[in-house]
Amino acid sequence: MTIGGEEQINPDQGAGTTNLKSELRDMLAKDFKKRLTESEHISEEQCKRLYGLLADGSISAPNIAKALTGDEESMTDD
Amino acid sequence: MTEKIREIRFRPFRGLPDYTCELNGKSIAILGGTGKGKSAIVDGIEFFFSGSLRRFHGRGSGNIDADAAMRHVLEKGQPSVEFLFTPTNESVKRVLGSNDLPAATHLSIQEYIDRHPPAEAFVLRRSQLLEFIHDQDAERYQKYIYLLGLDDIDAAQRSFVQAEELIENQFNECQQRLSELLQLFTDPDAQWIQTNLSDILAKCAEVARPFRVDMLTEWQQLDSAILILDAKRSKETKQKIDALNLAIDHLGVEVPSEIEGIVAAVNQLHGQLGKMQAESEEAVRGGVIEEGLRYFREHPDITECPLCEQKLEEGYQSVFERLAERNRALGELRDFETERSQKLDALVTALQRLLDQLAKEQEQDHGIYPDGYTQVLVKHREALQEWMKLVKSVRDQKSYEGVTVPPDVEAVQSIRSTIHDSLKKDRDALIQPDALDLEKAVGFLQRAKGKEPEIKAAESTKDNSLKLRHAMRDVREAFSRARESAVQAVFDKIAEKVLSYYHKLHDFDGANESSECTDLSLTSTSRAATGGLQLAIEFLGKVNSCDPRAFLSEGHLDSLGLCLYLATVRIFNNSGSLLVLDDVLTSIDREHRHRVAELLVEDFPDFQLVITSHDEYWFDLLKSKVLARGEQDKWRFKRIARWTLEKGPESAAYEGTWDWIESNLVEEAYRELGGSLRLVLEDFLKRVADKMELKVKYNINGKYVAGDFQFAGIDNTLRDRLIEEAGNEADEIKKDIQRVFGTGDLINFLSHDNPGRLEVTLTETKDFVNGLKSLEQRCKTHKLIKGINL
Repeated sequence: MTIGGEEQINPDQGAGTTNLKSELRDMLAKDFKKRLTESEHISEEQCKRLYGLLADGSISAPNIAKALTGDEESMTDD
Repeated sequence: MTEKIREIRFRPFRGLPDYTCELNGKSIAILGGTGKGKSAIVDGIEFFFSGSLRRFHGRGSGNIDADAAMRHVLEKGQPSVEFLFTPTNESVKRVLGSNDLPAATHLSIQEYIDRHPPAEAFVLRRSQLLEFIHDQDAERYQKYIYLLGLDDIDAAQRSFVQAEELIENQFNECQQRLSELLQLFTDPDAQWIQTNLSDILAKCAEVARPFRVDMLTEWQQLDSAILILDAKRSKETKQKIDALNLAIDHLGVEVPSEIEGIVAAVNQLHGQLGKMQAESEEAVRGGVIEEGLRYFREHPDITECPLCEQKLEEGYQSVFERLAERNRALGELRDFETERSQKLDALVTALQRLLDQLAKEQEQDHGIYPDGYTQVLVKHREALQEWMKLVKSVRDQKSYEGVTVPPDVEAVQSIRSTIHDSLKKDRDALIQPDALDLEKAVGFLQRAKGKEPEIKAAESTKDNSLKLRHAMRDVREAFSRARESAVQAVFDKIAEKVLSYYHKLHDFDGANESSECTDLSLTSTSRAATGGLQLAIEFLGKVNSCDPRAFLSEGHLDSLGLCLYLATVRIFNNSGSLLVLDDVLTSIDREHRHRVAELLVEDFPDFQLVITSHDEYWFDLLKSKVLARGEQDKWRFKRIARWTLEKGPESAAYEGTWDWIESNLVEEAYRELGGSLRLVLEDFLKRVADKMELKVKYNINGKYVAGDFQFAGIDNTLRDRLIEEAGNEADEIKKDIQRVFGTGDLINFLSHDNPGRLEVTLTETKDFVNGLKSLEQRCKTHKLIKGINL
């Protein structure tokens, strides 16, 4: 599961784990994005890159640093 | 999920030699006294899903032989539990000693099995009711975190923290580099302290002004200012003074001071890592454990280790928890290793800077250094290069060897200081006293010219690094707060559900009873890296945020435990899955049991429930609720009348008959006849009352009990009518009436959940039965009863 990414949910499933799990991740991702955009120190591009890392599940310390510096080329190295 | 359980076959399993529990895709309530095999049915369900029984493993289970405990003492066959499903009509069978649960031939059955969480998340026993309440905050947190599956989020959180450290280190390096450059323009004697490039330019203008350099406000004007000053210098000495100034500037930059600190930090980390690795031999198998944990999470029904193919003696949950704990420790180990790796990188960077510095100094030797100094520089550079190789080897081989501070660094700094002072003396000796200010001004401007690009770049790098630092701090805080807020929002939802269930059980009958627990919260607390989850209640609206154990009675705590469990099931478990409740109502009183029945019927219609109880009152209540909702097609109600070693549980399908009652009027069985006797008595009274048109107080739910008829005076009316019909038998009639109505509490005493039941003897019970049978016969003879079908 990725945070803020899309997930297939079985229609048979009731108010079960997956719903709450994805709800939590949705809430986290939305709130994270909102807080990023509210920061005067983070540009729109940085925000997009960081949010992308979260959505595709490739969060790591070097990738976060690269997302902030905009070093996209070396980001693919990880 | 469309599959439901049609039957569960136990052949043999614990106290069930050959027993089939028929559910027909419905929920089932099983009533039976103590020792009638109810818990064996629940054990069988747990065994089917997990391959073991949790209560036979782990802490407190002593020397229980779990396999032996699952065998029937007479039947020698291998214990097995088979689930038959509807509508596919296929089955899956787990046999003790076999490995995993065999794969279902039908996909929908496999999906049904896979969608069940570990057994303890849907099988609740009485002894486990208070588990969530007695849990430590950290244990409770871990349970919910496991249910929420936050591993990826926690890993992300760690990455944000590490990224912040990474950027903080980069910023510190930039700042250090800039400070070193600015240090060249500092003269403590003259109280010159420059903090940026603009200050340096202003100082250039100040020192040049006495020599008719009037315009120096831009860096581009520096060259012409230097030319003006240069023209005023002594031609004999200026070249040597310039060379000395250059060398003095280089030697004035101190060797990287952080090397010693980094070495100390690396060694401290090495010590911690070495200790952790020694304590945990599996550290080297970190990846395997992580993979194993993932596999366990995805296969809650495994009974055998996927790697060593050995049976999981401790059971799934115990192994899973141990793996999770080991994985957490490994996470800590990985964090330490990341930090170590960063420190070693920083060490290599600092060392490289020192080597570059020494290389530049070597280049500055234009015959101005004392004899032998260049050779000393070369020697030290070579020694430091060797040391650099060692550091790189420690870093790349990931060994936890201690790293020593290179002795050369101190020696190099010491000799550089000596040479620096010596060169300054050489330079000062070349300057005539009247040219001192001019040479100082020239030296300052030349230094400014030489270092301006480096300082400019360092300032820019530091500015960018500062921006990055601010951004990173905001990013880390944004994630941290978003995580905190999202997790708390989920905990609030769980708490809200628990409280709504608790109120459902305890707020009723207007103001006559209201819940003592007026509010409830699950608040995540920070407990170092692990986190905690505090369960607190508001007591009667007066004491807030208190531990429920401090205020609630045992009964209330039990019902709170039940609410916590049910709310967790409702939120986390899949619709259509099983919910098994094994005798969980012991300490809850009648009225609250009534509410539990309502809660289960109303809130869990999409679950297939298996409920066992020894409480006949509650069993009837549950049945009434089901009937009132017209959901009798979704439920089965089963009574277990008795259990024998040879036959196991025996159904009470005919327990409402005189044959059944008479066959159980023996010492070992008569105490379980309360329900049967009540049925025949009530049936008798209804038919007599009907025939005699007795005026009974109207009951809106249409359910009349013996007390209603007695209150209406049925005993006296019946006695009088029978004596009217057969006056010569008046004494016998009075005796029969006395035998039945004079012992009206007998049925209650016989009920197996009544501790006073032992006060009723077999003789008294027989007397009651004979009296009732005699009265029934008299009524039939004199047509004082409607047709009796019992």
